[in-house]
Amino acid sequence: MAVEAAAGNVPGTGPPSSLTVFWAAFRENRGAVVGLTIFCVVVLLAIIADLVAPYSPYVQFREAVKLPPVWAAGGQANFPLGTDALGRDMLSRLIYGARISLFIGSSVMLVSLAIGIQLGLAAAFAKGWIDTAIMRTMDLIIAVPSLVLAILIVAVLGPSLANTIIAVTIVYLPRYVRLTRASALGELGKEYVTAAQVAGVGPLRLMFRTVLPNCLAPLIVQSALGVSEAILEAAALGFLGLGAQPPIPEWGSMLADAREFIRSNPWIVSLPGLAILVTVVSINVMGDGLRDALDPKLRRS
Amino acid sequence: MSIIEIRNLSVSFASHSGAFRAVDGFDLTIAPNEIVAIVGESGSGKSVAMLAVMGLLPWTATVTAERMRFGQHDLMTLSAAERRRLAGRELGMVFQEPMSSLNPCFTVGFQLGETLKTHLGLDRAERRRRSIGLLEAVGITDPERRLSAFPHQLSGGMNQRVMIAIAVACRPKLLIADEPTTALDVTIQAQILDLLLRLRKETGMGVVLITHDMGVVAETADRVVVQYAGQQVESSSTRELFRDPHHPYTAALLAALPERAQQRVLPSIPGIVPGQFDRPAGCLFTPRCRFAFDQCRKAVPARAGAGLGRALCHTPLVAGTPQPQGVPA
Amino acid sequence: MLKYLARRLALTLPTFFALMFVTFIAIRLVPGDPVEVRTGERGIEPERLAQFRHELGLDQPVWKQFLDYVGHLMTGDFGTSVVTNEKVLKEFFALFPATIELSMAAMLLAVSIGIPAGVLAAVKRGSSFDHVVMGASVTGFSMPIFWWGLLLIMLVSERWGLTPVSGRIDLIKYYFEPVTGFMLIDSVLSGQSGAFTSALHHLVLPSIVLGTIPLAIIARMTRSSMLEVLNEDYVRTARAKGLSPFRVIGLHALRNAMIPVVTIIGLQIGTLMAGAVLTETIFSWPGVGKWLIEAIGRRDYPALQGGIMLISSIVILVNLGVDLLYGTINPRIRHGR
Repeated sequence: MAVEAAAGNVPGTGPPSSLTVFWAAFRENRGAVVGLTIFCVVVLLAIIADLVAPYSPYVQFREAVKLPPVWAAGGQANFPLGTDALGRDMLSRLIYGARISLFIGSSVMLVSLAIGIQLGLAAAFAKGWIDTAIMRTMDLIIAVPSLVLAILIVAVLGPSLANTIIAVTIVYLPRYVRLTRASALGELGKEYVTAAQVAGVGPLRLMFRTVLPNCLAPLIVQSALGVSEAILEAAALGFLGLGAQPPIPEWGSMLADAREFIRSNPWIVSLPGLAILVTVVSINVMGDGLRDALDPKLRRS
Repeated sequence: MSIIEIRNLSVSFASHSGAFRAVDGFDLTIAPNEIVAIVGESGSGKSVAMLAVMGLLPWTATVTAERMRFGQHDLMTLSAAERRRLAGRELGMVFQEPMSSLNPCFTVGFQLGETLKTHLGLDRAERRRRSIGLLEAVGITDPERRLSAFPHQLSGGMNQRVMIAIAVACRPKLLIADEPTTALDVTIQAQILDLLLRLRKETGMGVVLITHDMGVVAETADRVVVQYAGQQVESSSTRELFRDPHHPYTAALLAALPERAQQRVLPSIPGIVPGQFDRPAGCLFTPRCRFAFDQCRKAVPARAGAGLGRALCHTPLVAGTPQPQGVPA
Repeated sequence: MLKYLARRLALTLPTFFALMFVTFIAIRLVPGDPVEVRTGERGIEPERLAQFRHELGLDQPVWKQFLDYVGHLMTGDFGTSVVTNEKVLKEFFALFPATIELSMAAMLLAVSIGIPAGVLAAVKRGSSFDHVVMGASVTGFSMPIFWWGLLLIMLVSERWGLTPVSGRIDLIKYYFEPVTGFMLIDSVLSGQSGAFTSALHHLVLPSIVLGTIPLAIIARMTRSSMLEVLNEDYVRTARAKGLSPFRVIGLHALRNAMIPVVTIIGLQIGTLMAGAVLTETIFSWPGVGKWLIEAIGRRDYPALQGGIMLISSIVILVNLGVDLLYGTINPRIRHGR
């Protein structure tokens, strides 16, 4: 009797694109979607800060010093989140602070990604002493505790926003280098690379067009998490007075100023830290979702 | 009295896309000293049925049966603690991958002694003595030294012997061997099977041998049960099965054996085992069956009598020819 | 095994060397006159300047200065603080026990809560307990710990008055000479009643703050490691042997699940040092972290240089120790492949 084709194939639809598959898997993780949403809100606020913030973050209102948020006793509606010790509007400072932190986070991520990929690929492809030199340097950077190294760099270069970016980039560089190198080494053993080499693909093209696209998944996840790590590290430097200098409204340095007000004006302490926490949590949760969605092994059927 | 009696065992798994029936109507009775083989392709439910007996299924599984009796115990109503007392003591199980079935962090002696301590309460000296004896019984040379070896220091065949030693340590009434030789070389395979036969003879235990290799079945089993897509499609003595298979699937399986080949090209069974979403109404084997006709597509077949291998077919085969419907078994 | 030890040791030597090189270069790069940087004095007269230059070896070629530097380090001379005029090494080790005590308390907390939480979350995968643990741990390692410390001080110390705000012990009521430098031990040794309790009291909040991030990471790692292990064949075998769930999970599964977790615990040492800097600053805990920050503020560059050299060396050595420990736990490495 006739044997039918394997049942279950719906004619007419091709296989879904990898982006659709990825988004479907990502969407399953509700936490990740929430994280993405919050992160997008923060990014949006940072971009349109000039439109959204009620005041400039630098303007000091001498008559409205240390006002509590609008819901507490003594709060005023025109300063919804209160003011700090110099009478600057908290809400505006927080919004502009988002701009600063995200700027730092993304700069660090982009620069370390760019440098890290090149070093990682170089180490994986060149092997020999280049590989050793690069990896030993990375080992050295890792050996020194992150904040301690950042402090050293800032001590040498001087505290500023730009130097914060440089310091944090150097501290987090090894992760990208190691990740790229490990992925690349894994791919190098595979046959499609040999095939490409036999076909005469030159080393540069081999590195960037052939191998790199297949190493992207863990790099994407690390980049997302890297932004949050950079924000935390920069805030720590800011807190220690080694980051962006006042009056720049960086969240960490806002906390440094707030130390004396723990008892008297707690919101000056709580709000900037809360901003950091919410931003970093949303990025981390999003990054977790990214990792689960990109790694086929973890996907549940 | 039979060691184990299972009637109409069904297992379904809860999954995102609905319940999946992995085992549908499984029957098994084993007498002491008997070796029964369960044969089938991957996905036929042969392992799942036995895991249900051992109580090793995850919480997503629902197990139902008319009867599931082991010795005096009704497995359906036993508490978890009582179940654990049976497992490893009266019921032993050996798995497919010997290299990963033993804990890499503990020595062979520790893992063997654990069973003896938990179920028999032996002291250390006695455990050591027994363990050495067990390792000898399963054919491992230099047993004293092996006791302090770690699993990754032993070969696959030796690990499987250790697994068997652990499974029979307390002289169980029934040993379930789930594809014990699939992951091993052919030469080792023969040795392991001989070992199982010898142990059976020495202790009188029953053995359930799960396999997909008909050759192994022919050599070792007394009776055979054939599984397809979770259903039991045929069940009879080995001799009878090989002489005259009654279900088209069994016939096709046997026809595919190289030893039975009559032409240069081995006949294979076209198509694949139905999964969760492409189960035919009516008989599950219909898409792949040479003899399928209208009735097969529409109605679930009734089980034929014992004389026809209890085949799940509308028109069971006799000497390769389907019998007309309605013929009494 | 010994070969493994020797090999790992050999691998750290270039790191040490590079570390010395980096700290040497870093101090030379600090803007300003090198003599002022090194002595902390400003506006020195020319003759004294020349004298200093000679004393500090600044009139030598750079490579010789580096060799001198290395030589000094070898003999244990990590420089002299320009603020206190004490040897950096001496100051460091006077303050180091405080940091160790804090770090160990934090790690103890992290491990004793993190591992059980991770195990339970894995065993009860998908339950509300699991979600809570996961949520708490994401929050935990997203936390800016300097803020977390301030928040806890605000609530627990100020508002509820449960713990002291700063310091290691109530200095008004108890004073004794440090014997080991570990307040918990010294307080017992001093024989003064209530001293130990006071010391413990002061330790609680700082160790919670410092231990939060390691706790979160350990819990997560334990959970994911446990989830993988629970699916392994040997766990199924253990169940088939009729062992109790406690034994299956607590012995068979956990022993294997711990292997990657121990690595993580080791890696946390570095994180703890970084975190200690912030925690000590907030709680005025007299450890090397706080000392380092003060050194920057006071432009005490020799102290900064020596301090960083010492902290990093200790972290490298501890990582080496953890590596070796890992080798003994993981039987595959212990007995060779």
